[in-house]
Amino acid sequence: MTGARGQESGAVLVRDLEARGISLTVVGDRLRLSAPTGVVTPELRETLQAQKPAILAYLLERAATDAPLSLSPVSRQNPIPLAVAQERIWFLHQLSPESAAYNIGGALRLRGRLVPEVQARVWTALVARHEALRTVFTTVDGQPVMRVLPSAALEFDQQDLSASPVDEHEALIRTRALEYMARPFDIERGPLWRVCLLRLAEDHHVSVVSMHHLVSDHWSMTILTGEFCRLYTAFVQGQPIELPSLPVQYVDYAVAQRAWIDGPRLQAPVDYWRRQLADLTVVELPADRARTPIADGRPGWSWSPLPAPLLARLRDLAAARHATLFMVLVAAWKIVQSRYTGTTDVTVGTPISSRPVRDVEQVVGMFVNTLVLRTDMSGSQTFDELLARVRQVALDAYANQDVSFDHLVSVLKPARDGRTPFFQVLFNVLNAPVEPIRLPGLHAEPVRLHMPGIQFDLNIVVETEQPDPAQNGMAVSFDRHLFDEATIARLMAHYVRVLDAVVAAPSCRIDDIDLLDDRERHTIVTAWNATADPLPAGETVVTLFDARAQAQPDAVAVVADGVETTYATLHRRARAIARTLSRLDLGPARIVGLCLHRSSDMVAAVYGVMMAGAAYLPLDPAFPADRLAYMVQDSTTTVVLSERTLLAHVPDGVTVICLDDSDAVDDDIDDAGAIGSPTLDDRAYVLYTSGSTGRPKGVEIPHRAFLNFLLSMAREPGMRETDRLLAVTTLSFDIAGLEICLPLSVGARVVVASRDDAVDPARIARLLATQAITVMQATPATWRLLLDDGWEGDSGLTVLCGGEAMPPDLARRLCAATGAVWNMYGPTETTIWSTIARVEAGGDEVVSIGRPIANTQVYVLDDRRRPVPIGVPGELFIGGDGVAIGYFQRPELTASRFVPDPFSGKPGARLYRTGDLARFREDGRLECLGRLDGQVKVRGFRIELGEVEAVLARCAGVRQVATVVRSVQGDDAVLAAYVVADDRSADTGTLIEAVRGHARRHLPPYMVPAYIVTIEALPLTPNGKIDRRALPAPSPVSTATAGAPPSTSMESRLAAIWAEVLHLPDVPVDGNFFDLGGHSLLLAQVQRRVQETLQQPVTMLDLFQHPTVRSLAARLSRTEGRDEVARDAGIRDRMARQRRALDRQRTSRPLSGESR
Amino acid sequence: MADQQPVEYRVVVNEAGQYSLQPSFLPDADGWVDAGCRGSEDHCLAFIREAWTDMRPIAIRQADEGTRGTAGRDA
Repeated sequence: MTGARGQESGAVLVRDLEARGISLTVVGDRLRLSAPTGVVTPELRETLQAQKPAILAYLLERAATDAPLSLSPVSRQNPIPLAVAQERIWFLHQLSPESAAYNIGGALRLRGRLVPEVQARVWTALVARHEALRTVFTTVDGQPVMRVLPSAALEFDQQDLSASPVDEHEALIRTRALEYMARPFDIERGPLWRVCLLRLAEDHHVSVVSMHHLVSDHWSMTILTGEFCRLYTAFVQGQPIELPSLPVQYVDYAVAQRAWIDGPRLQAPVDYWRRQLADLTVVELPADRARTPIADGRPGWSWSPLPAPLLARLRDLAAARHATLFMVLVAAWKIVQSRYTGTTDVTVGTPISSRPVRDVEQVVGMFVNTLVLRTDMSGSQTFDELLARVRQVALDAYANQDVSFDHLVSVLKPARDGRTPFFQVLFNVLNAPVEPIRLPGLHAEPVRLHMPGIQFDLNIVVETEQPDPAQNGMAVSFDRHLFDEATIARLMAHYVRVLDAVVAAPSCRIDDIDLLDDRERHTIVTAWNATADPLPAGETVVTLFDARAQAQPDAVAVVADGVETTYATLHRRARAIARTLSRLDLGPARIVGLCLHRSSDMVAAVYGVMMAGAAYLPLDPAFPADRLAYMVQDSTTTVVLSERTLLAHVPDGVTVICLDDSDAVDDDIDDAGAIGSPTLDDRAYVLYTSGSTGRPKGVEIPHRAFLNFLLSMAREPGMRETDRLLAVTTLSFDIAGLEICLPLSVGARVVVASRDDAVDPARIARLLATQAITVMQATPATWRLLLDDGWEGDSGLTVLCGGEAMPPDLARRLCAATGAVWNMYGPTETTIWSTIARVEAGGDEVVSIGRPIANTQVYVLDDRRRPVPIGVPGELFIGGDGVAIGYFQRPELTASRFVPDPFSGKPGARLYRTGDLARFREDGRLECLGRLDGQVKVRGFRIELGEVEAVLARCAGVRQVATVVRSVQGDDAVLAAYVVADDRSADTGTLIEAVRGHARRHLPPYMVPAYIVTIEALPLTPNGKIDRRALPAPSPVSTATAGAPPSTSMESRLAAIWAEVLHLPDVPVDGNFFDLGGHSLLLAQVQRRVQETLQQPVTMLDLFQHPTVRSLAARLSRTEGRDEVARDAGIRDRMARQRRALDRQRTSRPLSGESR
Repeated sequence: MADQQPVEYRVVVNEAGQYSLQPSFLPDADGWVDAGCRGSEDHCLAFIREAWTDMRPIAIRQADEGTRGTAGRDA
């Protein structure tokens, strides 16, 4: 046991030392050390002495299992292929040659008498010595190669800043150094490095070195600095000097590496990584903005301190657990990353200096490798347990470090989409002691510089060995396209909180660590939810209407079918309906069904039911009979208000009152007497929504919620007497409650669009104009339809938009076309809308859903019901006055969706768990990020996929069914059903028709799938669930023409080139280059051949952004001046899209293009 | 949100007689008390199905059982 453990600690030490660039060899029974200057401190030497037996044991064991690598000089005459890591950097350079992402370097402040001529002489000597400083890159047959030039000019710049004021010097140094570092390199002509001397005074200089990562790395910089010092000293002092010879250089390594890759030596390590990285899905940190296809590497920087006492305790903890400080820091970081990403499978990358042969230890070149550290953090474990896991993962990674990261990528072929595969965050600990640099007559010290570019989304460097302990901390560079500086600052603050927590209690459960401090908690939980606004005493939705009817009896309340109805008339009619109802047995639940055309009587009926102290239940005549029957039965409804022409739709077994029957409602009744009014606890309406188990459920909304909602809406977005609202939403969608009752609560006018009007954009546009409408509420799909139809907008119109996510382009178009745009969010269960946001023109990418309305609280919680930090996604919970009573007679469902509210301090209060994923922005506005479950939205309607599947599965001939929502042609979401037949020999056309008929009979129109596709078997995930993402796309494009051959000469020529490069017999025009086996290097060959064949320039960016023959052909045709063809095609596409959308809106007729 | 292990739940009830369930490690929120059932989610839901037979909020229940009749509410 002791032996094994000793050897293990030996392994830890050796790997840790090697990570710092120190290599160890055994000579007899002695240990030989080789390290860059200054890395080995007396303390380290002491440790090595103490651990010598363990280190020796480990090294001897390793030597026995490792075959030696051989490296011999190759000819410099021929072009030399790149090392694997260089290939990736080369490719990225082709994509964005102006990017400084791979410029590395540093700056030295030199105080004292500098001899610039000597400095130039030193660099000349270094260029002669190191081939990397005169290596250039070119292509042969589309393959990148490098050449070593026999000599190279020195790029040695000087800038005299001594004329500038002294107090501006430091800022100037940083700006100039950064500008200098950011200058791109011409990698074909070289040199790939340059040095600049900033002169600030006679005795004050700053030397800035910039190099391309293709020829250098961090350790190379250390080598060059060391050699610079020795040469400078010798030259100044006039002494002879000879540096140790370099028998091999980088190109020899690059050639040898090719041989190793294919040899047996890497088999075991590759197998290790194959296992270690199997089934890895990288979950990204929540970004402030969506990723752009190709980032230009604009970096941001952030630094936060690591206080000395904390660092000391972290060191102690590492020592006590036989781990390195790096392992402790990584383990703690993984807790933060796990919380931010909501996953327990957490990876980071970490750079490692990888010089597998002693001969290249002093060679300048790109030797950095990246190790992927993946940790399973599932199970409620303690920090100690996590640290043990991280430690093991790190040791295994070190033991298998000889496989280049880029080789791994080419072997394991992770899905490529422009992002770094396997990890998002690069985590590095700089723990090599920073040695003072000695130069004669000069005092030299490094200047802390920001690097001009960024290679990863987030690069964390923890510095633990700064000469000044106050300089120890986290230096973070990040992609500013993705993250704001404040976001990174919060992230690092949470990291420090975790570090504090784990040193305080290493045995704590990692799940128990709270990321939030009291201030952030107060902001999120209390300050952003301070929406209290007491309801006026004695009011209800009914009394508000009563008051308006009394105050302005002759004002127009409703316009329907061109007929105006005054407040007095409407009110009288509503009361008459209420009186009629009050004579009937409404059943114990007092729910009254409304099966009506869109008319003024529909409005009167809504109020009449409420006046009678009952709740209205919309029964949409467009719904199938058995759906309506279910709703009536489930809600114990006994009375339905309807019309003669709709009687056929009213389910059997209820009392029907035909409002158009002159006897049914006694309008002549004396109107003087009061009917009484509902209390705030009574139900105002019951609304059925899709249920995941196949049974819709009735949401019960109390008057308190409805009243609170209307009063809040009247203030913001706002509604006044002079407003005119066009009501286009069917009553069975809860948001119709706003359209009817908000105007009538404030004395405004409702213009009720008929059913035919409401689905026709031209008619809506006409109504908006002729009726001088000031407010309209609709779903994004309807607004888009209106705009696509040519509606020009109206600067006097306020747009209320909700029910689905508002796409940014729609937001921009609406803002440009109208007076005000509001984005509204809310589930039926918390009464119509719970958060609202005024949308600003040209705003953010994701349109915010805003802040809570009056008397409403919103919480974004993790799976332990704790508030998550700002910016981090969690489930949205909503509390306050809007919360529904529950689901009618569904105790279990109600209990699981309406949960105790631990935040508001109101005894017994409940929160509704929305199932929506959301997060807070820094200013307290919310972003909705989608669903946590199978609920989807089509045209604003909530659909539980489970319900559609349950219904379709009951259709004869269907064995199995899966449904998905597909976005076809941009933003139009449609429902697609995949059906497995009972009998494989059955005719698919017949089956599809049968399923469609069945769906129409049992589901409301919006739930009938637009596509029905028969499929042999449903694809399954490894754990046996239906893999919805693997279902084939049902769009006409992919099913009918994915394999389509080229149709134009341009497409033919491109397809031929692709086929040749990809070694395929033929290439379909819509096949994605990367899906067909292409990769970045092959793209370079495509580029060359396209340019040769077509005599036309094409950039790598073009190829990257147009990965199909069709799209590339279109791109190249455009540059040939065939814009008109493309434009015509665009218009045709748009018209076809509109037509399809219209078809669906009108009749919900399924689209064509069923798959065979 | 991922890699969920089986969670133990318990049933709680508030002053209005409304039931709910929550992971058992969560403390009682203000105004909620333990209803005497813990176990799997299904077990707790079965308990709620049995216990919560009258889903009307207490205010409505009292109103229904007191003054309100089916004969209407005319003064």
